[in-house]
Amino acid sequence: MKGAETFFVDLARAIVNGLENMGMSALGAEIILLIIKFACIAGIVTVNIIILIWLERKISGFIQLRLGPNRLGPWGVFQTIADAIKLLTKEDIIPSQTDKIIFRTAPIVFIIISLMLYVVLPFGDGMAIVDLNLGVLYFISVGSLGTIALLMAGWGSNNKWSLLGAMRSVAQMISYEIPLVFSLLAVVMIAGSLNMSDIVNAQDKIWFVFLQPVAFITYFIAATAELNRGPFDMPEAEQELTAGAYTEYSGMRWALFFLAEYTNLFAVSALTAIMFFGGFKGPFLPSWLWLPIKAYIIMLVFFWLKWTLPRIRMDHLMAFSWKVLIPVTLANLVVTGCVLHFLK
Amino acid sequence: MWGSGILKGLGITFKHLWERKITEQYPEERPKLYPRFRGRLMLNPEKCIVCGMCVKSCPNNVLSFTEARLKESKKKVLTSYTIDHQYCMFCNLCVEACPTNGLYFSHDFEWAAFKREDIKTVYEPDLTGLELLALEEGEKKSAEKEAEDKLLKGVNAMIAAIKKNPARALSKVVESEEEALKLSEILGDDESKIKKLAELMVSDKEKAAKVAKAFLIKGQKKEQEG
Amino acid sequence: MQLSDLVFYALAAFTIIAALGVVALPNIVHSALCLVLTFIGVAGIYFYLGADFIGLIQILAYAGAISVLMIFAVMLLLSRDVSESNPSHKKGKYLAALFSGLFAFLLALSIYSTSWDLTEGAEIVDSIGKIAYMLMGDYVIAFEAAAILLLAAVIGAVILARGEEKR
Repeated sequence: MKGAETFFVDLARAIVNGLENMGMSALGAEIILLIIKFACIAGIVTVNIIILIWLERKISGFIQLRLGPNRLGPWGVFQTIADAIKLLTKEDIIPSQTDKIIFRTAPIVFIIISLMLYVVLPFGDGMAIVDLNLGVLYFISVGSLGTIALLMAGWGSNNKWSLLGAMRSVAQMISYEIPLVFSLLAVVMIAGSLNMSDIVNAQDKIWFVFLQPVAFITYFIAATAELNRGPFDMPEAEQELTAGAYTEYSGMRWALFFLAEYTNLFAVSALTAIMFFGGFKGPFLPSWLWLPIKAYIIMLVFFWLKWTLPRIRMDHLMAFSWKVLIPVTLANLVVTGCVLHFLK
Repeated sequence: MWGSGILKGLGITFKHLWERKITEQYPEERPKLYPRFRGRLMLNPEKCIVCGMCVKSCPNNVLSFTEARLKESKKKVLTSYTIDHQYCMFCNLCVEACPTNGLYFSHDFEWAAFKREDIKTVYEPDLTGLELLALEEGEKKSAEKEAEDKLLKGVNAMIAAIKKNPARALSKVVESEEEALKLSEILGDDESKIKKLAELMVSDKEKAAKVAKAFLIKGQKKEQEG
Repeated sequence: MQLSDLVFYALAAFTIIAALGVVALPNIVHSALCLVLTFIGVAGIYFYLGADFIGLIQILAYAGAISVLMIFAVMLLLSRDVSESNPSHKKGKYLAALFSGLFAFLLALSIYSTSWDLTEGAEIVDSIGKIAYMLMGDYVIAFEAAAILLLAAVIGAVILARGEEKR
């Protein structure tokens, strides 16, 4: 058990030591380790997404009394791989009236931003790529850049559906960022740190979901809206906007957006696990298994919500954020602050 | 209120998650068809008595057949039977009309075909060893058509004759030459009247005479009034 | 030249090129996107200087929210051809050169007249805690004044958005 627990940390140290023994400077070895870590993240994310998309399709099927993908491989597990091959080999179509530079860069920006989120997540004890002191703030601020990528996609496409979808998603993401940050702030106040590892360690005795149930609920709602997932998937409302900002995209560019959406989903689920469910802490299993397990359970809840609830109307969506979530989170902050003050 | 509806919905979908799925995995799993399901229309050629009721009952002209007679017993036999499924609307009228229950709807519902012609079904019963009467349906038809053509030719010739020399041509339907001239005056340039009269003169002379008389009387009345 | 200097020059070049793009690009949406890049470059300089909290807030508030609102407004208000929506004004170019030269001169003057206290190798560990104590301690009045200003702005925005009530 002890060996399994520190397997990856030992591996990283062994790589650094090996490189230094080969006559490399400490800085060079660190940089190479960092590159290896990023490559690992990219690999994990890609494999993860293949599973995630299959899982979502399967679950949505089951909820609707269908079977979901079931043709390729046992229970259709190879369906996503086949789809990925199809998307990779598809013709790259760029409509003639688009703003070419913006149109081309938007998906790349989006995927880069969503991959950047993983930098601060502690996947296990001491297993964050960069253990930033301001991890939570980093996650939020980098995540907020995603709106620009969507706006670029919507504007660059030169299509009314795209622009409408982008406008909606930007309005929605900006509005829901505020309750999101306020709910996380309550947790940060209890933990007394913005470092994610510290927050996880602060949940040694009790998970923050029990100390901050209101913050958890508001955070979960806001996160669903931030991810543009149902019931808040107004920006991509198929019935009215075709595919929102992604309308003009096809082939690999579209696949990048799709990939980024699921990358964000996993990142936000992992953040939820870290902030409210004790992150990598858990009995029996090594710490680097607990975070994915928790994140996957949270993602299942995201899927469950999406395939249960009908889409909310745009004005209700905005009103809910500004008139319900923000006051509630503010009140929660005040109560938390008072309680913390008197406990000291 | 307070999200109880959301929880109820979540409960329903959670239950659905574990329920038996209703998807029918079609090519492997065949659908359950009920006895009166109307699939492809089929004919049992052995039961066919070549009465033609099916063709008469069909509202869309889906059905057509050719027939022949046996030399000895003079009994009608089917030489071919065509069902053009692309016009069939599964109304069941032909099946109801068939006195021997030779037509029926099968349970075949897989219709896909590469060509339009492939949607047709043609039955050609094996008639080897049977001696058929020489007159086939096709020959009969051509004879009828010939007669029609002949008639049309005669009418055209008659119209030309009336126009060229009305007194001589019309004297065949009226009693005197004077009357013939009068009639030609009345008819004048009225093509439709000339054509009508010419048709009758070729096919039915008695009737033509009557019509000519009627024209004359009418013309006289008009003269008196004028 | 050290490696850290190289990082600074790279960041500075990035920021300046992006800022030039804001001014020079003929398409105003491109300009706005270049502005985002400029903000990110400035945030990078903050990180380089060890002001990680300020850098992140720069990204969160400026690159993530304010520039998005600017792009939003530009997109909604744009009525003519986009490709020439940010024309270069040649009329006052000498005046502009004069004023920007004056500004650069003043800036350089103030930079050279300030004595920069250099602290070698001082690493700021808990920047956010220090900022918090400063905001809530020494500069609490300025902080609260800014808060009241923002509150007034929010209320003003709400009133403007609601329109005049009919009686």
